[in-house]
Amino acid sequence: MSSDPWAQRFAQLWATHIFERKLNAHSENDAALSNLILALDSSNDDMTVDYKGVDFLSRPDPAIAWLRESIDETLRRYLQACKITYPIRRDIQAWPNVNRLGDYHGPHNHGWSYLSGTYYVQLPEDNAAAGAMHPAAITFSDPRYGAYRHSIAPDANEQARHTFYPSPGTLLLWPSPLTHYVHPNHSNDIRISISFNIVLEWTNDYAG
Amino acid sequence: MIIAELEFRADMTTASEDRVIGLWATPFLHFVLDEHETYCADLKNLFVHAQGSDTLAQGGGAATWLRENIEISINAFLERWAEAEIDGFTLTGRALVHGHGVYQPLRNHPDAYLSGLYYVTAPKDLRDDNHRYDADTNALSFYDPRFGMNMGAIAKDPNADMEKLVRPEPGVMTIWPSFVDYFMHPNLSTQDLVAYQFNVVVKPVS
Repeated sequence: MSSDPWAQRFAQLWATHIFERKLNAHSENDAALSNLILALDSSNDDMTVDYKGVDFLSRPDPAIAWLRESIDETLRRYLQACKITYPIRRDIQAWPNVNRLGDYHGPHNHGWSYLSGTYYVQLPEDNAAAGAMHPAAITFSDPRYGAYRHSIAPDANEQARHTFYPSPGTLLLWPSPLTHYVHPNHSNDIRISISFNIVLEWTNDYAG
Repeated sequence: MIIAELEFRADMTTASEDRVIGLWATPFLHFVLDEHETYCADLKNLFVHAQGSDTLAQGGGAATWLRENIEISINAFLERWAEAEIDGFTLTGRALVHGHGVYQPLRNHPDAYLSGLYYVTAPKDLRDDNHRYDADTNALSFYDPRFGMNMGAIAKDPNADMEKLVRPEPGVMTIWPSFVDYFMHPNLSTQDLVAYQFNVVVKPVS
């Protein structure tokens, strides 16, 4: 118990939670995922753009089965952390991304979803950050519009962005309304990831 | 789309490599001032006779006690959360006396850094017997500044509750970042609500 009376008087409200995991056994599956995605990419010039309606996780491949179960396991852990014990009915819609030199994903969020996430299969190693540029990284924006403009450096609102530098095997999970973007790839090496939306089917348990 | 029920596992434990990163929380200070009973009657008398003016600036007795405690609370807030390098702050405030039916519409305070409210009295009786149980007379409701974040949330998840409710009690002090929207519920009592509302404007180090 803290002896500081002020510690009990302060609350931190409405934090935005991002869940980061390093998946076990990723090294055994990343090569297979990479090969599969590059094969798909070679047969469809717009594979990364045509993500709507793609059902990547339904493909009969052991590496994809492993990824689907890993996403489910991540969702279980997220729900456990929230102490949510009622039944969840969900679908996972996933699509692969290949970013070559200069490719990026502009700021966006994911409508009609509960949680969104990305699994990182392959990332360029020679993408050193330079100033405000963080090549191939992913950056999230503070959803409290206006908080940043109100800040006085170096208070806690000064940083309106948070950037992750994932490595192969990393899985990130976040609330779907959260605006994010992927910085341009400044490397000749390709960046491969698999993004997904977790979509819920309504049950009355969700209303509390 | 294939909807299926997610099966929970009884043997699941939190893996050590899992990392939950909490970002951009909104700080909030809420507590009851010690010795508030001692100064309640004097503050009520002072505020009822000086509505709308900055009565704490006049000094003396209960006003000095409240002003000192507000300043201590602001400094605690700045030290623990803001960590801003400032060259002092300016405190401006006004007494609130809400008769029956008076409330404050949804608002924030764009020209301040922190805002606060101190309850001197907090009548809870209801004058009329027609009110629903969800009437929170004289309470303060604060709203999640992450607009829309609760729209897809489900019960118990960290984004589900967009409202922080502070129930009125004599001696309650609240301080929050001025950009947060809040609503002060109507006074449904036969008695007046008496409170002190203030803004804090900080002077950054140039």
